[in-house]
Amino acid sequence: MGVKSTFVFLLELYKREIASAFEYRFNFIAQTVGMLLNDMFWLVFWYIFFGKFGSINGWQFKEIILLNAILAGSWGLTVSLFANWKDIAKFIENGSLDYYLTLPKNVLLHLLVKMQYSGFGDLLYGLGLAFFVVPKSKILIFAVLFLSAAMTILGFGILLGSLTFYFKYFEQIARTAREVFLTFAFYPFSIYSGFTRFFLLFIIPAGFVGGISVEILISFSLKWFLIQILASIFFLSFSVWFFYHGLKRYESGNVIAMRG
Amino acid sequence: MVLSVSKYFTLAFVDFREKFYYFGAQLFHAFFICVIIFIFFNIWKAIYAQKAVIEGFTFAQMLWYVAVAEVIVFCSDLRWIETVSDEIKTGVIGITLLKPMSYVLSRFALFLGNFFYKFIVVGVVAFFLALILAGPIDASILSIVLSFFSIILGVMLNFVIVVSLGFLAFWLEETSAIFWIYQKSIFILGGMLLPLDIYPDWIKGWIINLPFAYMVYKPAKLMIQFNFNDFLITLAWQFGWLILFTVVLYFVYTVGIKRVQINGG
Amino acid sequence: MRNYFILLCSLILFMVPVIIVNNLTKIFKVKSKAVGFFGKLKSIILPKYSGVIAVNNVSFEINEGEIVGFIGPNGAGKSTTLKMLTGILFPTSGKIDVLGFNPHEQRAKLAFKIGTIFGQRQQLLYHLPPIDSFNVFSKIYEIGKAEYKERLASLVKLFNLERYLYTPVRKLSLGERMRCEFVASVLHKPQVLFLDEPTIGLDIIAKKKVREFIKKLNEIEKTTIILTSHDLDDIEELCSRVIIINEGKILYDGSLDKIKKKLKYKILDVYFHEPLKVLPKIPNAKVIEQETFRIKLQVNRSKISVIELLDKYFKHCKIDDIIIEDPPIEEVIEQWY
Repeated sequence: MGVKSTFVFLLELYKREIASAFEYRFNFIAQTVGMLLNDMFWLVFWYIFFGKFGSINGWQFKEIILLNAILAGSWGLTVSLFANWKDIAKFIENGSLDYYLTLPKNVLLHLLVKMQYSGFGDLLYGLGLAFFVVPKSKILIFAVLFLSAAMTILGFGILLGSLTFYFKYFEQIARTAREVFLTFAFYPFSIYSGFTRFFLLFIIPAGFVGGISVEILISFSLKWFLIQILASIFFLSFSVWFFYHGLKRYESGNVIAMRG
Repeated sequence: MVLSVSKYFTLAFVDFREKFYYFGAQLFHAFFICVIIFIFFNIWKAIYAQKAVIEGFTFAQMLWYVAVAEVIVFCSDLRWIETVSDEIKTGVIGITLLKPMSYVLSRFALFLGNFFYKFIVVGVVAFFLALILAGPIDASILSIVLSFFSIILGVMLNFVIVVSLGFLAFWLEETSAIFWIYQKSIFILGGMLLPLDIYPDWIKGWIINLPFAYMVYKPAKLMIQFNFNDFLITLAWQFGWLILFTVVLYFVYTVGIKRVQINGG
Repeated sequence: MRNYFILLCSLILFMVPVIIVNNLTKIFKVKSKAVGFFGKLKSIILPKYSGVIAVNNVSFEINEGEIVGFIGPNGAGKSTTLKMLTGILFPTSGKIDVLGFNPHEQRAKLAFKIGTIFGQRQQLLYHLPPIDSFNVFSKIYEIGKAEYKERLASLVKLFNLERYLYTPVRKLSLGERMRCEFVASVLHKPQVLFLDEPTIGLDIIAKKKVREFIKKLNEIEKTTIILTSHDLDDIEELCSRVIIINEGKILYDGSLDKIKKKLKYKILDVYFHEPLKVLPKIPNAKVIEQETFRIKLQVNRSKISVIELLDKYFKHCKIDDIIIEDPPIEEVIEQWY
C-alpha cells in the first residue's frame, strides 16, 4: 500500500471513530473527565510526599510534574489513537485477527486504530501540565521527547502482542507486563541506578517513557537526547517488524492449533 | 437456623477449592505486588540515605509497612462494590432469598475466603521479598498473631462498607465513580501509600478519625511496631467502626432488599 | 348429609391444596419517560410514576402432586407470579398461601420446603465435581448427615449419577449437568418445586432428560411441580393442567386435553403415488404445503371430517401415506391470546 492511500485509509478510520465518539458524547466527556481526576489524584499524593521529604535523589516535585506531563500525555496520545495497542494478544488468541487479514489493508494499522475516550483525559492532563511547567524555550525538545515516549509505548505494546504468535496463553503475561511497565515508569527515575537502570531502559523500556526525558529537560544532554530518540525509533521499528514476522508464522498455519 | 455457622464455612471452603483452578492468576498478582515493593524499596532507600529514622520508622520497618499495607489492600478486594451492584441488578440477590441462607452472611463468608485465598500466595511471596530486601524486623509470634487479628477486623470493616457501597452504586446507577472514590480514599486516607505518620500533623489529626485508617494503617503499623496499648486502642476503634457500619449495612440491606422485592430489581 | 361428609373427607384426604392464591395483584411503579429538556429536568426532581399491572386479580389453587404449567407470551405475568409464590417479590394486594406459609413474610421458613430452578442459572460449581456442590447444599438446607447420605444415595441411584458424581462439572455434557442441577435443587426433599423456564437453551437430548427427571420426581415423591415454559413440548409432556396467562389475567385454567378437544382444525398430510396434476378446490380446507407428490391441508373439522374430505376429493388418487395430526400447540394457544 502506498503512503498516500495509507494516509487516506487512516483518515477514514478516524472519521469513523470521531463520529462514534460524538454519538456517545456523554460517555466521552464522562470518561475524559474521570481519567483527568484520576491523574490529578496522584499529584496530591506527590505533593504530600515531597512536602515532607523535599527530594528523592535529586528529583523534586517539579520533576514529578514533568514526568506526569510526558508519561500521562504520551500514554494518552497512544491510547486515544491506537487504543487496541493493548489488545493485540487478545485478537490473536480469539481469532479476531483473521478479520483484518482478509481485508486488503495494512493489517497492523487497521488493527490498532481505535479511540479510547479515557485517553483524552490523560492527554489533556499531560498537555495541561506541560503548559504550566515546560519553559517556552524547551517546547520543541519537549514535543520531540513526547512523541518519542508515545512511540516507545506503542512499540512495547506491539512487541508484547506479537509474542502471542509464539507463546500460548500469552495474554495474561502481556497484561501483567504492561502494568509493570507503567508502574515502573510512574515513579521517580532517579531512584534507580546500575543494573536496575539498565534493565529499565533496554529490557523493559519504562525509562524511555518519561524518566530519561525528564532528566534531559532539566539538564540537556545531547548524548541522552539522541539515545532516547534512536531507542524509541528502533524499538517501534523492531516491534513492527516482529509483528509481521510472527504474522507470517501465523498465516502459515503453525499457530492454528492454539485457536482450536 | 439461617444463622448456623457451618453452612457459611462450608460455602467459603468449597468456593476456596473451586478458585484453586485459577491459581495461576495469583502468581501474576504476586509478581505485580513484588514490583511495587521493589519500587518503594528504591524510593525509601534514597530517602533513608540521609536519615536513619523517619517518624519513628526505620528503613526496614518502612519497607515492611509497604509490603503489609499493599497485601492487605490487594487481598481485600474492593471490586466487590461492583460485584454486589451487579448481583442486585441481575437478580442474583433475589435468588439467594430462595435459599435458607443470608445474602450478607454468605457474601461475607466468600469475601473472607477470597482474602485468605489471595493471601496464601501474595502474602507469602511479599513476605519473602520484604525479608530479602530489608531483613527481618522485631516481631514476636504473639505480636504477629494479634496484629493479624486486627488485620482481619479491618477486612471485616471493609466488607460491611463495600456491601453498603454496592447497594448505593446500584441505586445511583454509578459504580465506577463510587469505586474510584473509595479506592483512592483507602490509598491516601487509609495509609496504603504512606503511613499516616508521614502526613503533616493537621491532616493526620482528622484522618485518624476516619474508618479508612483502621482498615490499613493501624493494623499494618501494629504488625511492624507492636505495642499492646496501641493494640487495645486500635481494637476498640475497629470494633466501634465495625458496629457502626454493620448497623448501617443492616438498614441499607433491609431497605434495599425490600425495594428489590417490591420493584423486582 | 352423610354423602356430603364423605365427599368432604375425601377432598381433605386426597386433594390437599398446597398453593392457594386469592385475588393476587402486582402493580409495578415505572418512571414515566420525560420528553424534552425541561421535562427531563422536572423528572429528576419530581418523578412521575405510572403503574404497570403485571398480575391482575389472579386466583387459583394447586393440589399436592399436580404438575401445573403456566404459559403465556413474554411479559404476561408468569415469572412475576412465580416470584410472588416463592416470596422474592411482594404482591401489591391479594393473598397467597404456600404450604401454609405466607411467602413474603415467612420466606426463610418456606425456603426449607421448596426448591427452585430459574432458567439458565447455574448453581453447581464449575471446576469441582457435583458431589461438592451437593455437600454445600446439604449444609445450606441443614440436612442431617445420615439423612443426607441416604437421600443422596437414593437420588444417585434414581437418576443414574454414579458415573459422574466425582467428575468436574465442566467435563459433563449438558444433559448430565442439568440432571445434577436438578438433583441439587431437590436434595432437601422439597414439597413444591418451582421451575422457571427449566429447558431454555438446552438441546433436544438435555430437554428430554430434564422432562424425565421431572416426571420421575413427581411420580415417586409426589412433589408438586409448578413450571413456566415457552417450550410447549414441555407442557404437553409434563402438565396435566395448564394455566394460560396473558396481560396479567388468567385466560384458561384447566386440563390440556380440554384445550386440544376444542380444536377446530386437524392437519392432514397426504402422500401420493403419482404427482397430482390438478389440485381440486376444497372448501373448508386450506393448503399449507404443496409438493409434487404431497399436499398438506388444514381441515376445518366443524365443517367436514377428514375422512369425508379424502373420500370426496381424493377418491381416484393412488395414495401412499396419510398422516393426521393436531395443529401445533402454539396455534392452539394463540386462539386464547
